[in-house]
Amino acid sequence: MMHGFSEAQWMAYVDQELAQPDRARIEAHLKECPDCRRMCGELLTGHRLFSESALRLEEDLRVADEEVERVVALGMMRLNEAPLLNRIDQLLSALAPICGSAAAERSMKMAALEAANSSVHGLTESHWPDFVSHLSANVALLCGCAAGSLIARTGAQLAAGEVV
Amino acid sequence: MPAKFAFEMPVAALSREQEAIEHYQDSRTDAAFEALFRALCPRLLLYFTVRGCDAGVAEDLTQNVMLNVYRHSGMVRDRSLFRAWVLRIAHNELVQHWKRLGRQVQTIDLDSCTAALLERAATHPGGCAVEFAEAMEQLLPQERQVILLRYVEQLEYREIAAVLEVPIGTVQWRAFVARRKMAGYFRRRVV
Repeated sequence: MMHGFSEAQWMAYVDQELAQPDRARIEAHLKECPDCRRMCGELLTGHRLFSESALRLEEDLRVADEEVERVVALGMMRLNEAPLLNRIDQLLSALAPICGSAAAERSMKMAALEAANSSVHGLTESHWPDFVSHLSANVALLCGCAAGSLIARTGAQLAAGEVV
Repeated sequence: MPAKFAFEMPVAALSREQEAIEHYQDSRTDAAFEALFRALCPRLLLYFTVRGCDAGVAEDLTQNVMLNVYRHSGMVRDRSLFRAWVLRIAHNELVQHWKRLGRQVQTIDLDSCTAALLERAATHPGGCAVEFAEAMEQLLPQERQVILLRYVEQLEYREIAAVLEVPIGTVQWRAFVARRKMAGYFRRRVV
């Protein structure tokens, strides 16, 4: 708090987002208080400097439209050529009730790292057996051997195209 | 009334993103997803570049983020926090990337862009990266996080709170302190 106004109110005032009657109260106070006028000036200066330098940075690092189109095209291609995604989702659905969704996600990320040194999205068909093997080992450690076996069997069924 | 700035934040890109987000959330079609990808791609590339990734890595991580968005966007409860949710995924992708490289992962390091920008400035003379990096060096890591998300990623305070998983009051306090520090730094430089 500064002279009866919170930092949030000062920020909202300087950003011109403060509604009446708080705005009128601050403006009346500013006429009387040199300390708050100085502080408001600093907030405005800081805002202007950050805004201007961020804008120049963005211009400096801006990616050309053609480059964006290329990244989007590659990304869409990856999406269309990612048959493992559904499989991974199904495996996650099988795993989450066993060890909780957060632990399930973490286990899958760890197994992907161990199997392919990549994220789950970077897995390919050739990584799948190793991935399932690491995952079932991790799950066995977390939730017991039965859970590990279940995941190994589910992974194999998914690879064989069976509905789990 | 506070002084009106000659400078205004660019709104065209933001409104294009917002339109694409709303359209995708309403329709969930592949065409809408592609439009969303196109709208968010420049921001995500910038997010990773500013945090020290080279162009190829930024491209890969951007694609990973959008794959996650495609798979999990149905889980977003608050539609108005969609952009914050996307940047949270980006943050997690960056953490995973550093882990794969075997580096020590610390949140504060991830969002401290100064070293990366200074490195870039050395290879891109004439750019403004060094100026921004110097300004960032005046701040604490948690203040840098807020300032980057506010001014580079152009998020609102409540979105920043969602990305960082801290109360909005904490975000506003950090921005408050950072602005005053920046003004002081500028005054010292002028003197």
